[in-house]
Amino acid sequence: METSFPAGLALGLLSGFRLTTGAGRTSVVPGAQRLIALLALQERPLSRACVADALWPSGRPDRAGANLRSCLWRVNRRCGPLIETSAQHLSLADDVAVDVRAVSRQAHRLLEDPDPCEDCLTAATLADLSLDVLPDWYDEWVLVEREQFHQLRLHALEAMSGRLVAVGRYGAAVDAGLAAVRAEPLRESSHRAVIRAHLAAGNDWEAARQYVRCCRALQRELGIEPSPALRRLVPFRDSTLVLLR
Amino acid sequence: MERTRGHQEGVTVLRAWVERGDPTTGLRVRIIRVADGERSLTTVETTIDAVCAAVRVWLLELLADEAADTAGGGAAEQE
Repeated sequence: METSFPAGLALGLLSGFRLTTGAGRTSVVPGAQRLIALLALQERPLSRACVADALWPSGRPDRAGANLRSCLWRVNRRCGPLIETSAQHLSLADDVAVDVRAVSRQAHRLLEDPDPCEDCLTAATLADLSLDVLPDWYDEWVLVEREQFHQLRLHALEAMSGRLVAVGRYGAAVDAGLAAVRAEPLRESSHRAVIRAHLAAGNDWEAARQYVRCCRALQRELGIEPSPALRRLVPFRDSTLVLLR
Repeated sequence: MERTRGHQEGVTVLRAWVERGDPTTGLRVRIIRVADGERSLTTVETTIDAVCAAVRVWLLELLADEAADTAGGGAAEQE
């Protein structure tokens, strides 16, 4: 995880759970990790009933409520003022830096900001956008949030590649595009980003190789060819491309 | 997440997008199946019918596993 946080509480959810306090990394038991992660992935207070139902869906409501109270006690004892509580609601304390929130803000800037966003065109941002949220967790509430972030990072990586081409940083543009391809190998727009970066750098042959990789992936998994629009990007005849396939 | 013994849990994630803004030929749906907290299989389809068929197969597999577990659990309890 490349994102740096100000001193204090920092929570990392990209690539895995990591809680860091002023004293360093803090170990947290799995049940407490889930409570903290659930609150971190929501940018609004959640009702106690909603949290209990999400974390203990198979149990009776009163039992889930007891589990939640016990879990809250453990978190507060172990981690200090991490969770803000009221009679009805729970939320993550405002001063906790959460990596997913920071990277999501960068992703939205890459997609929407009319300014050049040069501070987002870094290796650190690329590394962060190459990660998924809590990849080994399969709770339902994690799946939804992970998919949402996955889509956001795909779009942001393609936008990042386009912005890097615009400022002449072709190598980094290829890297950003390839990160998008790794995240979804069948997405033509990701292959297109890589091909455009190669073409902008004057590497037509590399562009052709990427096109062929796209052809292979689509043929292998779907039995189809890329779109004519993607084909038109590559400045070679079919007879030449056949040599690469 | 608490689990009851012999109880199967399955989640199917449909990650869908449309290439080139063309819904006729550009639909892509990646089907990610999760069973008992582990990713088990991902496939890709290009039509709504194929997606529905894949989800139906998945549900039938889940039900078959559940039935097998129930039968096995019942036998174990009788011993």
